[in-house]
Amino acid sequence: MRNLLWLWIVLGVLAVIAVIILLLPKSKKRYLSYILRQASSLIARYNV
Amino acid sequence: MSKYDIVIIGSGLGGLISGAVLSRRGRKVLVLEQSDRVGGCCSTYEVDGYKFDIGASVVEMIPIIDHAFAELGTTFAKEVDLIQCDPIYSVIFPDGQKLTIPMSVEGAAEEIGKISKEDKEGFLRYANKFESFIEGNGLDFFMMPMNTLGDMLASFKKVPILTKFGSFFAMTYDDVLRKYFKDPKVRQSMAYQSFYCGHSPEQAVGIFAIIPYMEHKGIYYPRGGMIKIPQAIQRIGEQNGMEVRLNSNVTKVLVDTNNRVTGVVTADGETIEANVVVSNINARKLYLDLIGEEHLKPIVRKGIKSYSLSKSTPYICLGVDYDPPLDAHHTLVTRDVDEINEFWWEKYRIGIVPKPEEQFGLICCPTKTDTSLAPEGHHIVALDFQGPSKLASGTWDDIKEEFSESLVDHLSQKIIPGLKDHVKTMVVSTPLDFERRLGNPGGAFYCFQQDLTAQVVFRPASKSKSIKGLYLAGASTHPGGGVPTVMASGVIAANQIVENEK
Repeated sequence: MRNLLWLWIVLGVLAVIAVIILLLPKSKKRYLSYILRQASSLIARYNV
Repeated sequence: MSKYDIVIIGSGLGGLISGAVLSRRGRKVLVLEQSDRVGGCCSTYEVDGYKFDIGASVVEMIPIIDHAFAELGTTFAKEVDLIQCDPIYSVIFPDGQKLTIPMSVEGAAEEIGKISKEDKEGFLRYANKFESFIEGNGLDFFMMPMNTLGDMLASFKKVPILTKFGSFFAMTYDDVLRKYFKDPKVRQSMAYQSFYCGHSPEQAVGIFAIIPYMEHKGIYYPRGGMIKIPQAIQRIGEQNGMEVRLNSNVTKVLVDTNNRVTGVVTADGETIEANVVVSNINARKLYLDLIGEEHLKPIVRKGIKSYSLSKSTPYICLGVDYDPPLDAHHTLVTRDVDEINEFWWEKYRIGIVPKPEEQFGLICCPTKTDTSLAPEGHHIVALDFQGPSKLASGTWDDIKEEFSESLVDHLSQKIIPGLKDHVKTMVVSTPLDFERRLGNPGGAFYCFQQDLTAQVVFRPASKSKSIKGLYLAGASTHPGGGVPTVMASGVIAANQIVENEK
């Protein structure tokens, strides 16, 4: 069990993030989802 | 030896001011403009005795413009006959209630207090907050080059107030309004200005919530039309030897094997040599069409293709033979802020045109400020309402007539009584028309999206990172679209050229 402690910590952090996202209002979810989709282009944009 | 040191593509405000500054510094400058007049989106044309503006309808954020004219050794007020707009704008709410906002902050607070006493205090706190930004030289942020992370960090060091406003860059415009105002109507009265930077309140960067406050610092109209601003810059530039060639479309930027510009080619086949080129056109068109993908690294190609085109709107200019019942130069026809955000995400972005009764937007009546724009007793009413640049089905040519007639009919019934019966001249410019007239893809007023992910170092650099001797001005580069900001971009480009191109 002790060897699996790290797994429980990771799952715990993911669960907290999931709860925070679920509790966000629709408008914030929409905005965050948009920003995350754009994020993949940031390095390329920095080079333009 | 080439005849010109610098060729500038496009006589929009950014290109013109860049050329005027460089010619004042002794450089031989040629500005090539594809249309028959200077100014790009900040211009004016005449039909049947009515002087209609193409896009921009007022000037604000005056300290940035003053800075640009100072680079020319003069002042904005000396070169352009400016008329102050006071009241600064009027608001018509969906229930028909009206609110007129005067120039003075105290007067505006009183008016807001009639809707919500709590928000009157909120407005004063909001005003104090942004006043501290101005007093701390926060506007310098819009006047500094932002090509690298180093530039950005340097700006925070040079202008410490930016650090205090760091959270405003992480927040949205909507967040800032909600922070200071509780009443939905008060928020509505300041929400539309987010579209001045091309986005809905929920998508615009929070720092742009300074715009409604900046209007209290002075909002002006140039007597004779918006074209008086580019004409003034052209005049000053020409006094210093700058040449402006109209109806001259650049079709290619020449680049040698060392990836350095060597000149441009125009549509009539003329090659004009120059070691430095300033582009004031959409950067995607510049890099992909005029320069060519073969000169760009894959990561640059990916970056330039990743930008969405900015907002465009249909713009209806009416010449009318009566005095329309409007209270100010600008009248905002608002909707609930949540409805505006919903429209933006769910309809605008997928190309759906709202029905007239779902519309919101801006009515500009410039003849309330400058009567010389229309024949005596006549007025101009310009309608800037919502319509996506690319439609989900069909094109703007298919729906142009129906869209304009149904909107004028609706506004005539609900907002501006008598409008429809007094129209003498109507000119409708759709996003497609803007694309044809300005040569700007999608008719995009601000070239690219201006949200958090396409600002500052994530916007195309003003000193090109891939082509030597190439500089960018205008809405494509920092600090983005808008009259004062594109002028700032032109000064930034000029100063970098003076520093780097001996």
